Amino acid sequence: MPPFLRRFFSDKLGPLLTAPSWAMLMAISIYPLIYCVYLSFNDWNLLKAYIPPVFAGVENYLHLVQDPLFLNTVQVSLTFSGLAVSIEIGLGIAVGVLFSSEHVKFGKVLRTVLLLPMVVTPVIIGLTWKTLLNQKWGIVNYFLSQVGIEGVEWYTSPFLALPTMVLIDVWQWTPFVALVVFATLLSMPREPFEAAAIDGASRLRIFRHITLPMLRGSIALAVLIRLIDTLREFDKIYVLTRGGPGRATDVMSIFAYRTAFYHGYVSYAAATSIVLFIIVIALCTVLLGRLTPKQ
Amino acid sequence: MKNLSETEKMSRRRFTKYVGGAIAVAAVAAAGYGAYEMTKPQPTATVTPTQIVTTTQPATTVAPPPAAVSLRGMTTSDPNFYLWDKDTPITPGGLLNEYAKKTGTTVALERLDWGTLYEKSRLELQSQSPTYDYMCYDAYVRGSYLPNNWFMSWEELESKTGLPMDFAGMTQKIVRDCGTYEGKIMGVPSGSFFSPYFIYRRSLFEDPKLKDEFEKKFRHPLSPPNSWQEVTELSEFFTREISGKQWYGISLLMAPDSSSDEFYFRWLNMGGGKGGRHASMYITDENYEPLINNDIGVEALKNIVEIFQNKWCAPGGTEVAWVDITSNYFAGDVAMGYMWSCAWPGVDDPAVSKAAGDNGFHTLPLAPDGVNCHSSLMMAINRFGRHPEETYKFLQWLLSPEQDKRMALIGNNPIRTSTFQDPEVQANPMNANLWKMAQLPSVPQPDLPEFGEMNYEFSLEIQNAALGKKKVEQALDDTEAKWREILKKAGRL
Repeated sequence: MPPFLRRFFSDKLGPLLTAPSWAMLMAISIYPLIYCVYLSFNDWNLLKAYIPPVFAGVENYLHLVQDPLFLNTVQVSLTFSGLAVSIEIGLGIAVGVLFSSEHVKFGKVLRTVLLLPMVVTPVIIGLTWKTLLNQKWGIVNYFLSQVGIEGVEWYTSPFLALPTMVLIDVWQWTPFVALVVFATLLSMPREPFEAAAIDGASRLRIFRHITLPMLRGSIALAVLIRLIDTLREFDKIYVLTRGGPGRATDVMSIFAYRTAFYHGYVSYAAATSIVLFIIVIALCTVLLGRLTPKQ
Repeated sequence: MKNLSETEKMSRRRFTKYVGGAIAVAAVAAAGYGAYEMTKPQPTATVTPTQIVTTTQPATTVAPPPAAVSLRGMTTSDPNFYLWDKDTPITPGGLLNEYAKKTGTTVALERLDWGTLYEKSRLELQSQSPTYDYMCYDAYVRGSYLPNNWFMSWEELESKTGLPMDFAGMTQKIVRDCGTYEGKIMGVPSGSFFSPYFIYRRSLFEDPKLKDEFEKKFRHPLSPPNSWQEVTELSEFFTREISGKQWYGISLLMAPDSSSDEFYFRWLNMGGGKGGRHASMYITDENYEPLINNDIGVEALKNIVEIFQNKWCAPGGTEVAWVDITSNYFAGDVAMGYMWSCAWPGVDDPAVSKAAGDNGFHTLPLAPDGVNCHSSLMMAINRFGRHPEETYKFLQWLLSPEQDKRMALIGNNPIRTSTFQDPEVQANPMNANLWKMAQLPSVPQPDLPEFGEMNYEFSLEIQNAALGKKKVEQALDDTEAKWREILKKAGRL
């Protein structure tokens, strides 16, 4: 190959070939992010779109940290995430370990069934659960009424609404954690387990001292993905309660959405999204540092 | 990791430098362009008719439309819009089909739930999209739609096409209050809506055993309500088992964005908005000072809370929205209902309503100084649409006196005085009562762009009171404080 061609291939071809990807990334990811940051420093109301944006400096951010409604959404989001992720991880590990056992019959069928909630569109999940849990004619309340429990207000009571959202999320996403755990368990070397068994270690000790440490990386991944997902939870809550009753399920994405598209405060909603973004990044960084196995 | 040669390191650095530079330049350019687009002057809402066409609508409005035109529109999913293509003996094949056969113009209609329509129409109009030729907007949101200059003036299209719309024959207060902006008609009603408009199960109210029982308990005869106190009594009385079936007295609107309507209806009827600004539904005075936090406000809210806390209403709690109270009544186990009148078309249709054939209609008398509400889902023509004139022709036909009467006979709330007064239309007790309501003093929903936010905050406070988290007085105090904050932010206070 002539030197100029070699030089071209080594210097220019790489950037040239990756340029479309960069352009795409710019258009659908970087530009909206930059625009969102730009909007967050302005004052612009969608309901009065005929008035151009006015530069507002950090006013939106200052207002945000003093806004009790926003602080409530942070609290609701963190509660929802904390509860949902903890339960999903606990249950997911249990189910994953159970599936890896040789004693489970119809394992393949069960694993397939387990996948179903994950492949259903979140809006459909929301609508389905809304029907199942309907206070008046939902099938769940029907069965409960057969044992003397009447009219449970699953998503219309301010006390039960958030736990109900957690329950639905757990139902949908525990299988994901279980599959991650199951796949990791399948790929583990058998030797440490056999050695421990020969040394007379109980199943519980083997699980605690060998299985769990070896699962650490996978669990970290599962926690990270679920944390990001739950912090930006929108669809199911939107369909079921739209943040209500009162503000019982008013998570950050619902708050930002309502602020922008119902009340028109696009700039304020942009600031909310940026803060949400920062919270997610910060939490993920801390968690990654704590959960990933040390080299 | 493999050790890189100096040349490879150079090449990598150069790659990073180029790509990084390109990103930075593109980001700055994109942000700059965005900023320029945002800050460049917009066309004002007060342009002259000729300016409207030439500045924002390209040549498509001037050029003759193609032979076969397809129009597309979006409306809410309220029952009245299902009448447009309903196959009935009066409208065989449906009116949309009839128009297509008559003119060759096909008309598509997307019916969306209220929230979706609000979001979608706003984004379509904001982006000046030509996808929809016509759409309806709720009078509730006109304050944030009409000033944006998104719709064609109806008078302008009338003069262009030469086809008279007869605006004077329409329910005047609705055209004036809900469709006119700066002297120009931007929206015309799809129906004349008045609320609260009562509907009740006749067989229950005429049952001799129930009548006796009611009279013994409440010391006055069982009849449709004549005051909000009587609404509470009836709600209590009918929430019970009757002939082995569980009945509910009423269905209460308690979802966010809706529960405030429960309040406004009571408060206005009871005379709570004395001295209020007409176009603000009396919720503020002329200086935008909130007016709802008064004795009548407390009474109205207590009335809602009493029914809710005693469970004298259909279950569903704080998630019961407009669509739910209609479907609850149609489900056949609610004794009495009220809503914007657009909800009742279809109530006597056995295909959709278990209450069909057993309905009475009733108008609640107003207290001295009390008023009612009027509203409509207003039809508007998209300024950025492809066929404004063809759209006008279609709507001019659909909303003509002749079609208005046909639609009224199949259940629509008429939009024209002549239709209301037609003996054939009046024979339907629903229309007869609606006409009575049209005569009552009434006010439109507020024209403030901030009304949506005010309403949302208020509805959450109503929920707080209903769920026992706050006292009624506290909920109203907090609402007033929040409203002040919103109005202050908007520069009105």
